[in-house]
Amino acid sequence: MRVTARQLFVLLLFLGLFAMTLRPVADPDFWWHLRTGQWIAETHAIPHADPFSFTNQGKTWLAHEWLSELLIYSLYRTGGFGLLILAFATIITATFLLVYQHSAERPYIAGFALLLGALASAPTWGARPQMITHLFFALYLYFLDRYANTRKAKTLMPIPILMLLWVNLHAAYALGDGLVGVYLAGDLFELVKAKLTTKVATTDRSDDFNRSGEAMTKVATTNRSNDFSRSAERATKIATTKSFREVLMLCGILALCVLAALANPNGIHLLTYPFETLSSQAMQQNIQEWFSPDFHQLEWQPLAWLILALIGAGLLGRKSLSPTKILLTLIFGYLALHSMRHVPLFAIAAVPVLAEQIGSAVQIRQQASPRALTPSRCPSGSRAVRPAGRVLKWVNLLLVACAVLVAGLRFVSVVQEQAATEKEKFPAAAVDWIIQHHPAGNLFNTYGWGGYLIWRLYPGYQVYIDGRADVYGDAFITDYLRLEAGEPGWDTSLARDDVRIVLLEPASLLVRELRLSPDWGVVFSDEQSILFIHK
Amino acid sequence: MKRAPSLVNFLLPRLQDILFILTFYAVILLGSNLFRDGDPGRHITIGKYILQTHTIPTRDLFSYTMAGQPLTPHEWLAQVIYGAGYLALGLNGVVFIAALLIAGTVTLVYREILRRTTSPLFSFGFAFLAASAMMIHWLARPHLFTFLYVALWTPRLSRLSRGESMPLWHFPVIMLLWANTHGGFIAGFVIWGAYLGGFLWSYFTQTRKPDLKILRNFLFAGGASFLATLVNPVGWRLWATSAGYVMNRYLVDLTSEYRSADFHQPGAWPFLILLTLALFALSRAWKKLPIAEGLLLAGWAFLGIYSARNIPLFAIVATPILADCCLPIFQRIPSLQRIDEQISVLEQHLRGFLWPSAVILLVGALLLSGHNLDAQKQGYRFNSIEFPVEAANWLEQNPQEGNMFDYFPWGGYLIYRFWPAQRIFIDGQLDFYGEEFTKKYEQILSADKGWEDLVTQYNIEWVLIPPNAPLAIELRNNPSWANLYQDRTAVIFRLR
Repeated sequence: MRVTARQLFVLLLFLGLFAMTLRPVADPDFWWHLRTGQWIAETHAIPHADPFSFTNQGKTWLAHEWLSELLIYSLYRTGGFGLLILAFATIITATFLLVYQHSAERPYIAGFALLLGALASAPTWGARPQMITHLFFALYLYFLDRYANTRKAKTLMPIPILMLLWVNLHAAYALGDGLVGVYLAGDLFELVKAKLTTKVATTDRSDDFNRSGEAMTKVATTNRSNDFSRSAERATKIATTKSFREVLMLCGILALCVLAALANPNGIHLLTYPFETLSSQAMQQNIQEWFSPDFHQLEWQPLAWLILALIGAGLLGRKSLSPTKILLTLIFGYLALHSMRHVPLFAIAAVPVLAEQIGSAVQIRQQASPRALTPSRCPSGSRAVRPAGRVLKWVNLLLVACAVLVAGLRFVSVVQEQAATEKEKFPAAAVDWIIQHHPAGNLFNTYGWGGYLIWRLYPGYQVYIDGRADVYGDAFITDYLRLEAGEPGWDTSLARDDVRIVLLEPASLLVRELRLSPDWGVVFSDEQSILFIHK
Repeated sequence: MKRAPSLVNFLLPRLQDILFILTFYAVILLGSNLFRDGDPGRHITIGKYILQTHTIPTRDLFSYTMAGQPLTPHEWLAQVIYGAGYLALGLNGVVFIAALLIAGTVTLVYREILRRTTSPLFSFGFAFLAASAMMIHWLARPHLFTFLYVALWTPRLSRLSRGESMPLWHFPVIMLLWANTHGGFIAGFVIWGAYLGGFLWSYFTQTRKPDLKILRNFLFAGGASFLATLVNPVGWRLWATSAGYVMNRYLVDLTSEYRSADFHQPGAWPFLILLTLALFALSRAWKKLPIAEGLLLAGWAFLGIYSARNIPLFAIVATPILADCCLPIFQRIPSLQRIDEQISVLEQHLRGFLWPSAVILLVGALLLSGHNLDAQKQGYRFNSIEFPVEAANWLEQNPQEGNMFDYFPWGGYLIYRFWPAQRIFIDGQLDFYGEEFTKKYEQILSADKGWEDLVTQYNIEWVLIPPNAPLAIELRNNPSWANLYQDRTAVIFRLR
């Protein structure tokens, strides 16, 4: 099979991207997802009350990611961390493949824009249900964009069906409704604008014609004027009816999506859940991924470059974008600057826009250049190139083989790193001590380790707090933060909850108080953690 | 024959005057917010020192840790102005000066937008947006002078780039003042570089080449301005000091205003609106921007995203460009267009600065007579929640001997309250103290391993720090240290 330079570029791009997405499992929340998936697989039921913490035991828990958790556990049980890492790398790569597919100016300009978007999103990648939301987000954009280009109703059919899955995979399913809403708003805007513009144009032309027609016989003039008005009116009516039908189509899809969202174990309660999360002050102020990106961190600078590239391409390209694309860029741009967590959504929405604008800028430069020798543009992907010669064919194969090898080696290295990553990020050795010595009493833990402790210690021990911030609520989280900072009254709070084991990071201010207290003794400490037992 | 303007032409305010008055009064009303940073205390103290001794200090006077070390006085002129205001009216005088600077800057931004768009109402709205974006960094510090200079500098460069007739001596004069007022003078050269780059791009890429006379003017303006920067108490070393701080990653990360903006805070939302307008206007492709202005828009947007401190400069430089791009939106609203035309016709006949002058004089007189014009009617002051105001009051009654260890954000305030009677350990001039010393400070404050050795090394006898600092927790349980004072903001410990 002959591989063209373009095809080779695309292959290498996605192999490289795939290698980039391979990373060890280090997300603090992964572990309670894993335990929940195990719970569901073993009990054949979805939990509705919290079983994992002693502070919140029995209270309502909306297990909104149950299907993702089951999937995570199934993958883990089948192939361990290796299969999990591979699966999520595939999901992330597939997401960007979809973004690439519906970008213009393939392959090179779209490839550059895609790389920038991928770099901007990279800090959020990991084995977590959020990656599934990114995939569904990209799928929704793909289908909605196809509808916008073809206006064929059948392209919208997969959307409510996807919602049936999405609502059970991750609580950010509401983004899907939001996307349909944006396209609906864009179409409405175009409809109103078209109606206003055509009305003015029809009136003007009809008036002009009437004035010139006065020089001719009155009857002929009147007849022709009437004919013109009628055909203009008919054209306007057809265009308006068609656009109105399209708007109604989107309204119908939106309604179906909302109905589809009810098909989940928590029913109507899940409809308000995404908005409750967004309005939680404790989460917005204390959970790092809800903070604005810090552009002093190298990992977030690609986002700044992406925004800079959009402004730059807009300046040079001068292509007028559709209202829908403008809305997508602005809304998700705002969300990305508001919270790091939303950066991938912005990248997915902005990459096609960026590719379009860069393409426009390149065209303008080519038209302006008096010495432009490039042939006339062919539709992307159909440009005729000379087939590679025999040697070139082997060179191409070698390049692809090297890329596959690099990705393979990266995968092996990441899987081997997993154990070391776990020891580095989580209190693995301290937990080993607890399992070995089995001290009595309730356990107070650092928030970020709650998920890991649920995986390692449940049901033997329940946690004080973990990453399910929605379960604990703002008031509890605020109290936890005061306690963890060693504020006065910490000892009373621990005694009230019958806490006799405390597992913290060494830099925690509560550690200083516990060290100085005669009631507590250190039984284990290493670089990651320090474990206190009540004497 | 032109009719001489009548008295009525001087009596009615223009939109520009209303904007000035509103901004001026907003700063007067929110005056205490100008002191939510400790550095104004240091600037006021240095300003008083210069006015009283007629010398500009080139060595450290305020700390015992770096006593006598060379110090670049790169903000001496601003400090003199603030010091003079303080000597005349106390903190009222400092707020008065800051209000003039900010209102003057916003008015200049309005005038530039008006020049580009010829629409007073539209210009008012955009200037208001720029003022809102600038609020994020309204502090009684020398950088307010940089805001004013940028607002003077950029339109002049813009006119120069279009080949308009322009007195070139303005540039070195502005730069002479700027380089002696604030280290942000470097921004002037960044903007100059963008315009020069735009000219060169046009010259080498366009068939209809711009006039080389413009290049000559640019080179003269830039060269003369560079020479003007050397006219300062330390000569060329000024450049090393101004550029050196931002190159130090550790120190920059420690300084909150250099960090990226927190878009959860309402203070950053006007910047977000400006960015949104930029993306929106460019995506509609209503106007082709000259390369230089595109560079300025994109460049300052990037710098504003990177560091919150740059947001006001983005607002000053980019808002006029942005307003020009967004004018087509405004032109599609007939009702607003009609009002705007009426205002335009009226303003053509209006003259003078009666209203701003009257407001300035009135406010000045009220402040001089001791009236409290702030929103809380309590007088301008450093906030007792952010600064150890009550602890400082206690120390005035119970002065302590020996070397003090202090929390660095409070350093400027402690200089303001106690110098020369008490010297500090460290203050906000982290570029002066350097990375190595700052790390030692962090080691003591965090009570990290070896902190007691540093206490001995610097002969520290008492400390003034926040009550939840790790050092405070350590000292509270250490029998060698006595807790002399505590309130919600500060705690004082002394070595027994």
